[in-house]
Amino acid sequence: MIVAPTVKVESSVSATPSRARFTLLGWLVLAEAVLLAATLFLPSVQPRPLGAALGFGLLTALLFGFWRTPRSLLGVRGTWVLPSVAHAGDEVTLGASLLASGGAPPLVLEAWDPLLRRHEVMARLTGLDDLPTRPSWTTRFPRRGLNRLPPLTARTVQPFGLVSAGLQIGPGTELLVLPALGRIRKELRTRLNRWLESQAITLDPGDDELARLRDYRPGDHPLRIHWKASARHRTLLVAERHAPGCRRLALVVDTSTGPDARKLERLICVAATLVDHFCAEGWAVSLHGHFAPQGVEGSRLRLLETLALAGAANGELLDVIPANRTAVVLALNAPDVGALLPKPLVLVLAECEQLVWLPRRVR
Amino acid sequence: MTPLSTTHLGFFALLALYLCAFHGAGQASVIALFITGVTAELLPRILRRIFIPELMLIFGIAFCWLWLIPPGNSDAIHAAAGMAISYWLLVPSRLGMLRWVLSLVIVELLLQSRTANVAMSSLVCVPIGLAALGIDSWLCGAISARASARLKSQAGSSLVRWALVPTAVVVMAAISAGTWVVKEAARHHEVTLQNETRTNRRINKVAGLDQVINIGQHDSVDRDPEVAARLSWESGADPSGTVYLRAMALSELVLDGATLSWKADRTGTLQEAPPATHQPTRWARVLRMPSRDDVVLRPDGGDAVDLDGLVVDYDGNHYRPQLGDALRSYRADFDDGQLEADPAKLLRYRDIDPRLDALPWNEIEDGRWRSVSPERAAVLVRERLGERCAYALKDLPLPKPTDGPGGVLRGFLFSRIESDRRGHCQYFATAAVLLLRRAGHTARCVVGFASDEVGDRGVVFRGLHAHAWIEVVNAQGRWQRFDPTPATYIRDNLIGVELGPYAENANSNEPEPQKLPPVVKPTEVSVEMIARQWWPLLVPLGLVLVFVVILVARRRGAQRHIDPRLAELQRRNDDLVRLAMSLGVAVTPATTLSEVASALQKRTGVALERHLDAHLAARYGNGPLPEPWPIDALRQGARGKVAQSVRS
Repeated sequence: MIVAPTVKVESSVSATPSRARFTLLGWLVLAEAVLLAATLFLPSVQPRPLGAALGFGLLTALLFGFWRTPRSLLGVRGTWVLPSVAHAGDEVTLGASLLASGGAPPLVLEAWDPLLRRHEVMARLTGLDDLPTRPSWTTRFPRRGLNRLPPLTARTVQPFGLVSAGLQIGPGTELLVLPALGRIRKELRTRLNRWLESQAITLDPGDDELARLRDYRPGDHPLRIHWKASARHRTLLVAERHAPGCRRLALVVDTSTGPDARKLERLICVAATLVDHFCAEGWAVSLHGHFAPQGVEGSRLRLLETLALAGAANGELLDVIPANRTAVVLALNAPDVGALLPKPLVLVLAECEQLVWLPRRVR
Repeated sequence: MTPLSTTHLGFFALLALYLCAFHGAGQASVIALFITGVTAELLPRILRRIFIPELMLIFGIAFCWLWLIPPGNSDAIHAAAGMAISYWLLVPSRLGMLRWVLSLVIVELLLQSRTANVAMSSLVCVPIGLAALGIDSWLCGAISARASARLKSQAGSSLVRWALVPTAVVVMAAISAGTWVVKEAARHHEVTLQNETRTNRRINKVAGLDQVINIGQHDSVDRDPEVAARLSWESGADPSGTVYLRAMALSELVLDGATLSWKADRTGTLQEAPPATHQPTRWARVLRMPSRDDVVLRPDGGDAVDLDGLVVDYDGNHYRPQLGDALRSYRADFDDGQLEADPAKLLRYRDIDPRLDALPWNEIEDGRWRSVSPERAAVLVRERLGERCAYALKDLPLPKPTDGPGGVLRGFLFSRIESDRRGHCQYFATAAVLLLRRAGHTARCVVGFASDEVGDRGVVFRGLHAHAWIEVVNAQGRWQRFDPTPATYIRDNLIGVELGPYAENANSNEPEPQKLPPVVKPTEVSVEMIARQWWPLLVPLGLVLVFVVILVARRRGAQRHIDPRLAELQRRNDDLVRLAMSLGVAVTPATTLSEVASALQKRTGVALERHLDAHLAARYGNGPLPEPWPIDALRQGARGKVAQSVRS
């Protein structure tokens, strides 16, 4: 689906147009103009060289284009329009908001295509005026992480189509692409539920004390809404209690995958899928690993952003597993966790690939 | 009508107007092709898909070729060819084709510039070419943007600001600077020729004789005493009176403002000369001084010349390549005969420019001229001119621009002031030909030499003997010479001329005549011949070819970068999007494939998740090529839903 766009970068300063250069047609016309002007020196076959007048006209058109084309873009302003959330491999809609204080001729908008890794023509515009025009286009980001988007470029060949000039609009921007999300299969869902049930009964006594209030998320049961607090804060809040089986879970990700980057990507994808699943179920998830030794707690978006920026690291896995916490460990190989209490659930990548449907690109 | 069609038809009409105005002989074919083009452009799209417009053009051209284009009329062929090419370019409308009009304009200007007397008004082509370039650029930007982005369209002011105003600026600069440059170049060309005439002794020998008569451009005649040719004979009686040495017959009258000029008709290429129609009983030897032309001088009345490699033009004038390069000697027919007139070619010798009708001819014309024989009419015209006009060589009145077309004749024939009705032989010959043609007779101008310096078996022709007279087709169908100039002209020509070293009829220092080399390549004549060949078109054609090759190479290069697997995926994707649009699903550039699939699933009830997953996996996950979308099933599903809703 198309995510509602938000303007991430505010209005940009005007830039200097790039140097004008001949188009293919411009080179052809230059050759024709020179040849036509040369008929002045062929009085035997061109006694009254009318063609020379056209030759001078074409040269004038070329000179006029060199002077006018870059200047026609001087009033163009614009910004990127980015989606609020973008996952690796998913279709996202990027856009631009463009205007020109003094008007602009028909032009093409070039932008960085993350898929093809080059500048591509993303929109052709009949022109610009004082009111914003918002062309948009769809693309996909193949990898998670921070993506640098270079400035947009407006390019025109008006008038005459003989000379091309471009203008970089704005300083460019950055977009954090979240990891790709998979789908949890039924077997894993059953296994997780059983394990969590056992954990809640045996080792995490809990109580009925109010632990914290958090924002309402779609899927929360209406009975869990704390109406008094909601009234005070004028927004729906849900109460989380220290109760058996509730809502605190540590997810430990082993990122010491060695040189195989694809395994790391699969592991991160599984982790993101689990984060998405647990958050949707109402769990308060904290993320642990060598990329976050102290653990990271927060909203689903924050956890996914942490995973988006996670990289490979070496170290002892047992050091980052929090003590006295219900934990799920994702690792390449099964570590020895017999001494830990409560005993974490260990999922190795090989079985995760059977239990989680991963996007084909990650597979 | 789309903006593209409207613009193309506008240019189509503009080109038709231009061709009608400047190639009047081809008006019928141009109008026929224009009507064909407009009809083809207005045809429904379904007929255009099966190339009906192209078929119409083929039949249109065939029709014009068979019935509307006079055979051998280069003007009509030129106009029809221009219109046919314009048709292929502009009808049916395709984006980016308008710029090719510039190529047409270039070819047209190069063709037009081949003749010295082409009107400057032909520069109307320049705005057409530049406007085609400017408007095509705007159309390519604006229309492709509308097609691809469906964003808000700009008002027509965008066209004015970004196409018409720049075009107007460039056109004004081009026309003002270009006209000046062209005029200066033409003037410089003329001055250079004149300088060459003065400095080059070889050319100086034929001062006064030119292949074109220009009347009203000089107020005096340069009288050169140098010998231009000699005529000698060994047998028979000496001629009495004036001896005429013929150079060229001139048939085509050209009006250039107030002045007039006569020129030979060489619209076709020069042909190999046919055998002489008359076998001479008496030969004369012509000694021809070097000159800058290759015209064969011969005694008037005969067409037999003892030269090989002769070529002849429409008017029967003879040329021999390399004849003028050196002193030449050859034999020519010296019988006092008359040339036969070809009935198939006589129409041209009755043409009169309609712009001359504005002159008050009734002041001078006599109704009897129409009813009497041509030779009698010629005598009467000569008498009338002799009564009315006087012969003069110096201080001739120059025509004023306000006199209108052919204004030089207005002064010579119809002026109320007697001193203005003066002129030399070209004035008399021109007036006589026009009066005879108006009376319905067939007449033409002839230039050459007329001399009475008859010595012992020889005649000397000097530059000052250059003369113009007329020929009329008499009752026997032969060209008969008449000299409308008052007989005093020979005496007047010599007044005030110092013959100096050229006084002697025979010059002992004169070099021996050189033998003519065999015909290898035409020289002076070839300029015209070459200019009328097709090879000058090679330059623009070569440029077009290079352009096409570059375009094809770029396109192939671009195609090489596209993964065929992705191209196939895109093709299948396009099929689905087209189907969705035909079913009324709103598709914008920002609509994702998932949305399209979802909308179609809702409308048709056909499950598309599996296809969507496979497609996305192939597109973004390097998966195998998925099976095509179930287009037929979707169509049936859509029909079923519609029927269901109708039933309900």
